[in-house]
Amino acid sequence: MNKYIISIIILFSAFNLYSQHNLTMYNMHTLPQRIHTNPAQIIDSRVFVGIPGLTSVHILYGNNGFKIKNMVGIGDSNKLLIKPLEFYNSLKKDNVISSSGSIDLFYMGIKLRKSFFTLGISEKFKSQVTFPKDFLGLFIIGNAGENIGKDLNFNFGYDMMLYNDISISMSRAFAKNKLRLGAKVSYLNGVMNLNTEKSELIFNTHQDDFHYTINNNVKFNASNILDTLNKNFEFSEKDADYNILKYKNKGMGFSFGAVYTIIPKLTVNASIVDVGFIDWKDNVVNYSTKYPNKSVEFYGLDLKTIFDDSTDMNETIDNLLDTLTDKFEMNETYKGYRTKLPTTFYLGGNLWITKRHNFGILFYGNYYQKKLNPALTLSFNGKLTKVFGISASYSMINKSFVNGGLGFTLNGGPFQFYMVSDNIIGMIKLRDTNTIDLRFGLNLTFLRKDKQAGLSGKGVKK
Amino acid sequence: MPIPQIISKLHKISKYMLPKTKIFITIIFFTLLLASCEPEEFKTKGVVLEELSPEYAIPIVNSNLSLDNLISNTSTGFIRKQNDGFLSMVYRGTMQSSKAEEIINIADQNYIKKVNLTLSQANALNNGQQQVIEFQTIQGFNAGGREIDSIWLKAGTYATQLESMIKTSGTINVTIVDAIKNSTQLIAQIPFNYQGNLPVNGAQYLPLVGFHWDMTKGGQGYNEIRINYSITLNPTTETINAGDEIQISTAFQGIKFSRFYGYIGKIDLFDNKDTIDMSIFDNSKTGNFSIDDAIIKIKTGNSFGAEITGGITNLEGYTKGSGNYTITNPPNPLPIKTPTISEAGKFVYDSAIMNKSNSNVPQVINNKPKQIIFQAFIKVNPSGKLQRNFVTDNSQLKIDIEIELPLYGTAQNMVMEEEQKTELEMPEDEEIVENLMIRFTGNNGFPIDLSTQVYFADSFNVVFDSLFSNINYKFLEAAQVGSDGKVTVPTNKTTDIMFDKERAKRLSKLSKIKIRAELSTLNNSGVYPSVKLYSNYKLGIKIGIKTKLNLKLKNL
Repeated sequence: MNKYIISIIILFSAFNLYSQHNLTMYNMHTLPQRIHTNPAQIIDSRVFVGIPGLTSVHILYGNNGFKIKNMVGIGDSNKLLIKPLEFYNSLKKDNVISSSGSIDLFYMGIKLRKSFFTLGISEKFKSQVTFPKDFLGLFIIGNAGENIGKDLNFNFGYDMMLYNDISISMSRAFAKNKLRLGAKVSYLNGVMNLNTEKSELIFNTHQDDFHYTINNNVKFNASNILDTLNKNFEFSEKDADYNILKYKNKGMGFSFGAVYTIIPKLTVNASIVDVGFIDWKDNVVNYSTKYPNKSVEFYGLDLKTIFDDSTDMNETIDNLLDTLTDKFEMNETYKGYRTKLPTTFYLGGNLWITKRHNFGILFYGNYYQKKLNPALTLSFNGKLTKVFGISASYSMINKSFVNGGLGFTLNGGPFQFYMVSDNIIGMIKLRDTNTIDLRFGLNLTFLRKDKQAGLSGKGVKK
Repeated sequence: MPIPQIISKLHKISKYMLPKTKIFITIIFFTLLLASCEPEEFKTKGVVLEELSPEYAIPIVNSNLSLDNLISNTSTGFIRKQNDGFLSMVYRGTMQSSKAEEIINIADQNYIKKVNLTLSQANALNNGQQQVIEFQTIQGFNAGGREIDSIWLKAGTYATQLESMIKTSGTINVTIVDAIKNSTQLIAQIPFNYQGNLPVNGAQYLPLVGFHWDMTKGGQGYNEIRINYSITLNPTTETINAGDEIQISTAFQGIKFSRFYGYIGKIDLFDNKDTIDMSIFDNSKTGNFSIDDAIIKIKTGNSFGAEITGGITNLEGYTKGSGNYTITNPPNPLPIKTPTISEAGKFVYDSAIMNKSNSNVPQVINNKPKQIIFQAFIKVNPSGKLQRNFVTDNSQLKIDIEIELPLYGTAQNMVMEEEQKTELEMPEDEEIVENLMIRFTGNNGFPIDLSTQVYFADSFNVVFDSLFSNINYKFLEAAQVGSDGKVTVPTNKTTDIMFDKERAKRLSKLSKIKIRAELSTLNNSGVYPSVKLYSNYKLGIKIGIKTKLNLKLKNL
């Protein structure tokens, strides 16, 4: 059973959803999917075609702080020890549990002289639960002690997005192949969205008389292509119409990138990925706090009700609950809304030691909910043989310093199988990690050469 | 590509790759090695929860109580607010007589009239001529010792029956001449039909509700009714004989009046003894108490239109342990008004006040009586038939005695004690409560000090703990008052009561609490000025608890 407990913990642990780092993949110059991270990047083959449905499967689970070892341990008599206090102490003020996944349904690219074109269709799922440390603290350390008189933050959030991404990209070499610029345009089609636009819930226990004050201001949006606003709606697989192009949840995404060869051994590169939005218009419902500026205060029961013989205490408590419910009342509207894509940027450099091998440094940033989530990666990227490419990386991600990434491509003729993870150690040492990340797939690659324009290594000894 | 060729190709690839990819092989090896590192937690059996010591604070009570909230109001004890907000505590006792309709019963009345045919009447009928016989009687109305001039009826039945031995048909009308409703007399009309058999019977029953019946027209001036009879006999071929008889029975049954005019006789309405509970002193033990101007108000209400007299034969206060104290100078006779004829059916009121200027009421009250005992009598028409009376069915006489304690005075070390059975449901695991703190926050707008102690007793009535270490812990301090006796500044006080683990555990044997409360009005260096209580005085009480729990290692 304990296996399941831990598995569930892992399953519900997830990285910042909008932080699909791809730190290792970014520098894998044998892998076509690296173009997702920088549309100016190219690979060692002139033509590639992804195997439909299998070209890229990416799953990512994680959280931004705690690890399994913070939650459970081994107690006496070989029993699983649940450690709420250690878990609580390991949390950040706001904690994110996310999961995401994507499947490339189709992906192909071709190099025509100085230009490289790609065309892709993918389905992406992203989900993120935000929970405050203070809320768990309410149960684990209580509202008295160090929490008394303190504004406890109960800002919960849940965001989920399922959408389709149809994209084309183009990159072209300039300045005698020293500079390569690229851009990607995506047409986005939203399937389902849950969006916590605002979540402010503050709970305070007054230190003099212990009365509670609650302030809340919440705004939550939801949209999906199913007719869920219809009161008679019942989900039926056969009634579901997956022709998403006919729906109104549309958006656009843009990515831009550049690679510059300073000297033959040294390139620098930069990209900004997923600048865009989706306008959600299908079956939209918005919930927002009716009285956002009103505080709810609870001082306890009124003694008058005790002195009044005619008063039923249950009725008094019911009235109290009704009052609280009224004060937390939500407005329901049906207005469309826009969600932005989680924009990511990369800034890196590669030092080529041979035309097949380089060392890379990469700075990553993801800006979400007015917060920068940074990462720094050092990597070795090599093409050990004509058929085997490998990248090994070390990353510091969100104050987590043990993230060893690994990726490889294995070519057999045109067939290329690949697998890449930013935290291979985490996948193996589950108890010490807060990240599980894996991408794998099958491509067909053609006309592979080490000296593709845009790849560096020219003039370097083989 | 055929499968053997694919295998061959893969084989060649492997042969080509393996020598050149030592790093790859090494990585795969270590990957597999690490992948076999299944977390130790996977291999555990059973689950335990680590120890926790959370600390919670909960607001329990928050109230702003006026005296009105603190003292339960009933019809016999309540707070009275004057226009300026000044408060009085009022205790009320009521005596009331039965209603007139319960006192004055009107018996059923029965009358029989027999008529015999004369020879000429018989011959006329035998000769085919119709005969009409008309006459009037005056009957006495039996009202016992009472005299009815007139009454309005709200219930009753007028029953008329006939039994004819005359071999013919006809009609009888029996009219109660002076019973009128909507300008119409009360008439019974009974047709009868001879069909070969004798006697011939007939009857009619009419409701009396709504009739006004004047009984003064008979000559005596009261208790007489006039009845008109009209008998119509049809011609017949049967043989009619002189002396043939017809008998008419008239009855009035179940008579209920709504108004009665006349004389209702001498009546002793009541001579009763009753008590008024002064619950404010129920639990008082020791100490001094003074109300500056306690009064007793005696109020009478009467709706009998008759001569009434009454008096108080006993009025005293009973103080537990001290006995009875007579309250002097009660009003004798009682002030009782009689309604005029135009006020018939209405109560008219009168009252008398006993206070420090005409009685010893304040002294008796300051002895903290548990009860006020009083006895009173009322008589109707004590002098006999001096005047004509009028009553309605609801006529009644009431005496209200109110003891009003204007809340202006002093209390010194007034101790009240009370015991209450109590059971406290403690958690099954007694070790779970590490400590418990109860915090009382008081904002006292009353010019009264409250010192209190609460004792905890077990089922053998043995006290095992008390809430405060000091028996006279001043829980609330009196608010300051101005020269007019009114509060100027409320006082605040916070009291924390700590229960450590051992003390909290002892609460599990709690079976009874004994509360001792000591009240004193404002004490200015030993001087107790009289203070006034107003409706806007509030006692703010907040109670919260803070507890630290000890959640031990527990198997789930």
